[in-house]
Amino acid sequence: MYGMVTKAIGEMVIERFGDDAWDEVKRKADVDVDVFISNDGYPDEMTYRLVGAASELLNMPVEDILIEFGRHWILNTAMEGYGPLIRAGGQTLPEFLEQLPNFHTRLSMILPHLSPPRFVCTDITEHSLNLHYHTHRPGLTPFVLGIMQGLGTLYATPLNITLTSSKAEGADHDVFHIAWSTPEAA
Amino acid sequence: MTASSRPHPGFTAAQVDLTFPFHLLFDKDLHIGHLGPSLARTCPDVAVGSLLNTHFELLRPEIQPTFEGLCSATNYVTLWQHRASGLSLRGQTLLTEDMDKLILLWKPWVEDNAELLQYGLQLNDFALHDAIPDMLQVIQAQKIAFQDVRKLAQKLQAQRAELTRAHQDLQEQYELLSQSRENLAKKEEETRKLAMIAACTDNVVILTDAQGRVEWVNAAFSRTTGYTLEEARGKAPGEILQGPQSDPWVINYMAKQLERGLGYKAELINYTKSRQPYWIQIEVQPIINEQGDITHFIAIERDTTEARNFRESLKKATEQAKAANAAKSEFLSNMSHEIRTPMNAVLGLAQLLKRETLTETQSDMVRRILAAGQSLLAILNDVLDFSKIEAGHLRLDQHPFDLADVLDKLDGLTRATALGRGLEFHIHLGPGIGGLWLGDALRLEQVLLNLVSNAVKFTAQGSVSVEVKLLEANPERSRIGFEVRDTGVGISPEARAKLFTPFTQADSSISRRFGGTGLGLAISRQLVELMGGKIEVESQEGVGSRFRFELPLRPAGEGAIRPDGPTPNTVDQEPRLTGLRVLAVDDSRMNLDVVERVLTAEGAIASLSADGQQAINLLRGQPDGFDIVLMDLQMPVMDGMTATRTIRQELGLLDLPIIAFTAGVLETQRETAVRSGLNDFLAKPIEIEALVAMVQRWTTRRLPVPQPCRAAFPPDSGESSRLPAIPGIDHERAAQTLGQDRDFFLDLLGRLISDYANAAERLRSQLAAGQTDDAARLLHTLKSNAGHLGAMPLVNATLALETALLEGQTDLETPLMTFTRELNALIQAGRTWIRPTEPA
Repeated sequence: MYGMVTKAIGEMVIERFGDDAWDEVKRKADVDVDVFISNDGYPDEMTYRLVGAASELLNMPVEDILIEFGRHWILNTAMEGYGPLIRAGGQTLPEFLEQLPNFHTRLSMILPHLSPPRFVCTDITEHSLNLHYHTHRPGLTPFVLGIMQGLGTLYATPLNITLTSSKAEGADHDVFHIAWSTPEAA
Repeated sequence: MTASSRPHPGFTAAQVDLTFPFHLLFDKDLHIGHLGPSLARTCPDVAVGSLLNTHFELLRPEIQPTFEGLCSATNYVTLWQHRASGLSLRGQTLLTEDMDKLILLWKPWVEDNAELLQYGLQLNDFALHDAIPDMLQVIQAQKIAFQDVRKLAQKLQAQRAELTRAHQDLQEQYELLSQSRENLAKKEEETRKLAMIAACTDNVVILTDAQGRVEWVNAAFSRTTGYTLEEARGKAPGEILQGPQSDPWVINYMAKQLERGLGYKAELINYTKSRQPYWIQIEVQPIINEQGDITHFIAIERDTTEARNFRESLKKATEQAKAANAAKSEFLSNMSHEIRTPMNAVLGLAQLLKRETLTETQSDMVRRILAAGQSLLAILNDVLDFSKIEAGHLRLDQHPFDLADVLDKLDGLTRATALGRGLEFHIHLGPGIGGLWLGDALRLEQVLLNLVSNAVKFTAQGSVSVEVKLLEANPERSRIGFEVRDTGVGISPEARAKLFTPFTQADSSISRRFGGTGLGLAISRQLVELMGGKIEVESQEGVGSRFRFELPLRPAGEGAIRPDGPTPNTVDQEPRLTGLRVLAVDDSRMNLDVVERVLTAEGAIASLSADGQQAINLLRGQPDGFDIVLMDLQMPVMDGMTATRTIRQELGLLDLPIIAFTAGVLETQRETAVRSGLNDFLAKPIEIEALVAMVQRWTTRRLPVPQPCRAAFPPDSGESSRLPAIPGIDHERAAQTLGQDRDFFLDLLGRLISDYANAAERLRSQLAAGQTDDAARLLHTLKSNAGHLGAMPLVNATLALETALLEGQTDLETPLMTFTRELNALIQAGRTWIRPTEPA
């Protein structure tokens, strides 16, 4: 994964628990990196170790860590670094979600080592859609959930997200049914 | 052109909107015919039918934005700007197929993410094929990456600084550690050496912990006490070493010091393992670590039993010796008194009896009683002297004395006896021994008298001679040799071996023939040794003997006072220089008068000269005409030393004794005088006895038989005989030179006052004119003249000024003022007694 991800994990831990906690997480995860370079690649398993160490040290389940991370990713990392681009993704959450596939396609072109997940929106109605999440990386479903929650907050659109199909339970891929009540312009 | 001949199939309007969301169509009149959806959204002020140039400005190329102009730019990249929002639009221009419209195919030209928001652009405002959003993403990603790198660089820098600090700390720690290691190594080496010393020393060394329990002892401890280390370890030393005779007060003191953590020294009795007591001297010191805590005590014990025993026995022996000495002294004192008292009675009565009218037999008996009594007294004195020396009670005096006086006395006591036995008798005092020496004249006389008496006693014919020589001259310690030679019976080698042994004579026949206690030589030997010398004897039977000894004597130095000599000549005493022809040379009339008086009174024939040249002239005419010359040194025309050199070298009178008449201030002057040929020095002011002794000493062989002569001075006949009491005049001194002749004294005083009343002014003038020789001569003469009168304050002041002048001192004001004061005082005091005479 690109450094921006592990960097974002660190920023999240530091924001909530302080520098010493992040140093401890890294030590426990046996990660000897002082500064993660955003557009540099790092092993995926490093991210998994950091998440695992954070869960252990912060006494939070891994899923909760990932959901929190997903929210942080949208509301902090993406907005701080790429806020205008995120905003340009759509004026409403549905617009953004519909542009999500193109977003990741563009990302993969400029970050050649990125192997992003693939999102497909189907069954799009005025108040819902199904978001199909295809990835080769296991265990990040809570992260996507967190991203969705973050987007809901970003667009001030209360969401109702249901995992209707889980890869962990043997499905081909995860499918999130996302319903909203009153979409508002971001 | 038909649809089939078009290179590309036509697109629908929707496809065009999707592909080029920012396109714009206008006609030849530049009226806008159609806008793409994104253009219409982002530029809401642009309405269909409005003029192109009203809303948009052509930035590139720089051509006229006319239809024709724009037609010509279909091959160029164009850059337009929406006038209202400032949004830049990049693209190209296409001519429609009917050639009466142009299509501007635009894309919004933004340079960063922020402009997206600024212009309200969305991602779907960009065609899928449009890479601008991607480029913006890349730019932003790079910016973020740069931030990360910068953050990393800062972190690295901070880490580097911390590393540097840590490295410095480490370096310091390392240095401290190295230093500590070095110190530790040194301490270990020191400890090792100390341990070796402690182990090898004969003194007992005990190391205890801070509570005073034994941790370690050295081998000497085990040797001395009999306890091993294991037996002693863990115990307080006192537990095993102290016993019934160990002083409880000392034990208590030691315990208190330990409690206070203080060191101490003490002495007490310890006990060995077999409970044998022994004395120790113990020194204990605490050992303190770097934190200031006592960690150990170290005790060093020295066995002092033997030393104490020795001290005790020495003390006892000393007390016994003191007691014995005291008893001996008391005995000597008592015996001396008990014996002398009746002896004095016997001798005194015998002398009184001698004055009575006696028969010849009775006179002979009295003579024998006197002789026996005197012999007995002599024996008593010998025994007492010997005992004193043995007891260490004899103390030698250290007073100034004149060797010439000693020899004079010796001569007086022994010459008659020697001559009476028909012997030749000579006493010779070598050159350079004049002046005063420090020592015990009486004991020296005793030794010489003993040796000479023996020599006379044991010599039947021939001669007895005494010689005193200066062997080594040294201002601190000269060596003087004394020798008594005789042509007597001689002493056998066997007898010589026990010659100085007390109570023995050469052999028993000697004591029968010659008498004596056998103590004389023993006493003489001990006296000579006490004086720092050693007696030696050479002898040949039938030929004679020679006794000699050397003494280290220190010159008495300047300012030493001659001991009181015999009383001035009186009517009863015979003149001592009768017939001697003396030439006195002095430029001072007063001096010559005094010398002439003294010499004449003593029977000598005095001739006078006023300077060296006159003396030379006299001697040249009469080379054998004089027995001795008394030469003043500082004279005009020809000074004394020049005259002496002339007498020796030109006139060839090498044997004529020439005595310097001077108070030569500086030692260099004396040395120069001796080198010029002078034999001796006679101090001014003249003292009669010194003058007589000096003349006698240098004219011994020439002394004729003494003849009666008139008295030197008139008898004491009342007031006129007494010298006046004048302040500044020492009567005794004056009498030594002038006797009690008041008139002569006043005459000399009058002449002094006349001659020197203006001496102070004359001196100042001479000094101002640089005439230092004249000034020195004036002072020299005045000093001797004042000395004749006994005017000691003036003499001293004159001497001080003369000394300062001769030493070349530049500041003479103080001594000059002192001299002036004393001179004026004497003149003022003297004027009340005399009538001044005409100046000389």
